[in-house]
Amino acid sequence: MVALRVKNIRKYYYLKNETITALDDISYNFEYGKMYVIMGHSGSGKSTLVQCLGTLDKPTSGQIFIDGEDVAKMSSWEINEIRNLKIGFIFQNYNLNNTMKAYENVMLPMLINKKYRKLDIQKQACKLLRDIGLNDRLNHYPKQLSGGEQQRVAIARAIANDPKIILADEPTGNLDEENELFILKKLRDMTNEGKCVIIVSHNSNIKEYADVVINMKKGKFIDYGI
Amino acid sequence: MEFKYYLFLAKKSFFNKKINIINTLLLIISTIMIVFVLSFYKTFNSIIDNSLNNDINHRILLVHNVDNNLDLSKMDNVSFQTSFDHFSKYVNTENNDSLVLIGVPDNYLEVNFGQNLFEVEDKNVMICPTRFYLGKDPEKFDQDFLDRLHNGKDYINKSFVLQSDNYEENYKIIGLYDVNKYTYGEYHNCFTRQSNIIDIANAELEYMKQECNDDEQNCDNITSSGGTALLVLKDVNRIDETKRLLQQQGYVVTPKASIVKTEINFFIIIVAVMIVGVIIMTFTIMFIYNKKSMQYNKKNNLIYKALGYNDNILIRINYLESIILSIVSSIISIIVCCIIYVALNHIFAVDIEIANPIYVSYFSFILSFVISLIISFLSIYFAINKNNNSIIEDFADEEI
Repeated sequence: MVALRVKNIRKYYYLKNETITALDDISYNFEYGKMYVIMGHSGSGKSTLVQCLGTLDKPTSGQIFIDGEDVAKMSSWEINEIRNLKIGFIFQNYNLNNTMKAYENVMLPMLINKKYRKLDIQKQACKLLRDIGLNDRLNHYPKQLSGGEQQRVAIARAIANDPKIILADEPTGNLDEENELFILKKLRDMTNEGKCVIIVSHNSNIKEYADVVINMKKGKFIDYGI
Repeated sequence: MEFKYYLFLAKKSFFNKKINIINTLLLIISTIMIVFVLSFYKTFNSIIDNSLNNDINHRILLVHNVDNNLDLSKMDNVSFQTSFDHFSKYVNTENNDSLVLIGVPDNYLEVNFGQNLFEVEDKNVMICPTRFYLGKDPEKFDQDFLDRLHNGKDYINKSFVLQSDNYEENYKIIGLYDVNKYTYGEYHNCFTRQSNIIDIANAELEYMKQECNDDEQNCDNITSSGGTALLVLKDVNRIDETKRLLQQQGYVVTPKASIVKTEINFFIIIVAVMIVGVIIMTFTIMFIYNKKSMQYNKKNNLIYKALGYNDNILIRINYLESIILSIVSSIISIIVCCIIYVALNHIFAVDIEIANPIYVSYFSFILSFVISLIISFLSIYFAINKNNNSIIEDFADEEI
């Protein structure tokens, strides 16, 4: 079943003296239950693609469908709801709120989820962190956590609302081997649960966990490996 | 999202944004300025009102060019009538201290201690203030003034030789009156019989005539306001009404002391201008800083955007943050104002019994809180609007 579909998407950046093509006529279907790894050199358009898929950026032209619905036809309220309920983001630099404790960071997406209105959000957040092996770090601030621990908090936050789509931009970029392994295994587990996991990475180790490896160059999909 | 979570996020944001230190300081300063401007106005107003209501000189009307036999004392709101020359006299004691003697009917005063004028038959008696200043005219209420301010009770039944031109008599203090009730702020006014003032006036006139005889150049000193009746009124608030009535009857009437209400109206304008100035200055500075702060908050806003937060939620969090800001700054301002108020009263109120206390306008705290709420709200509102109604910027593509 198709989670995300992109159809002829293009993205241009207009600078003073030139136009930069970030995405050049990409069409593809991303399915549930599969892990996609997008690889390519810097400037190939990987991050731009992930941002467009996650509705954080708009393509200059083309269409993006999430669960069969055209994003361009959605209201901003609907798009926000999709980001909250259907998509989980994992960033290279974790992007945690440094003023909040670990469990408070995980609570953030749940605060605006109507499903949690009458439930104890704090308990749910702490459970997620325990499940990911951070039982002793619930009340720590990001600055008090190692890189690997921060990324685990970020993962817990990303899956707090049980989204069906996970978008990860260089999730292991700043981690050591042990933590890298843990994160990749976790992402694989999510895929096995039926989620659509799309990862942007330079890391060739990640290939062994992927179902599909996509190489990008100058805004185009060059080849699709398995 | 439930309100408690809005509050949670707003509190987190408020206590962790460095810009809020500046915002809080600005609001504290503006609150203190507003409180003190309004408190100063209230204190000044109270001094004027007390002076106007209590000082005998402010309840006097002069009726010019009238016959000496004219009797207006039975008129409504008139306490008693005398002539301009026979109302009060400036006299010296044997030690060269000065006093003002005011002549009144025997039953005019209420005395706090001792006896009243109508209770004794002696001629040369006077009723002086409960706090009695003996010395040259005090220019300010300082320690020197305090040193010369005596407890009137120490002077009951004591006598002074009072001197004026061609006049010297022994006067005894038989009673004390409340200075705040009859001569606000004047601590060396004593009341005596009207006949005593007439005696002093006549003695002075004789003296001036003698001087004139000795040297023609001294004849200019002979002045008289004969033909001017002096009316002491009961109710100072009806002074205009009484004045109008007399003028309708064809009399030329002027108040003895100028009423400074026109200055108060001018003062109100000054106060209003100062408050508006404070508000504009505070708002402008806060707006500039908050606009910059929004740009520096991009990272946090990006996180919120990725998690599905829309502009409305974040705007509401910002507004709630501005309410927290107003509450925190108001609480700190109240504490600071109380400290300053106590310090000022300690410094300036030399003696609480004689000096007008510095009032705090409690209404100004409420007004300042409302103003700080409006300022912080508006500064955030306009800062958001400057960012095209969106405080969530698009992702910057790091690779480009």
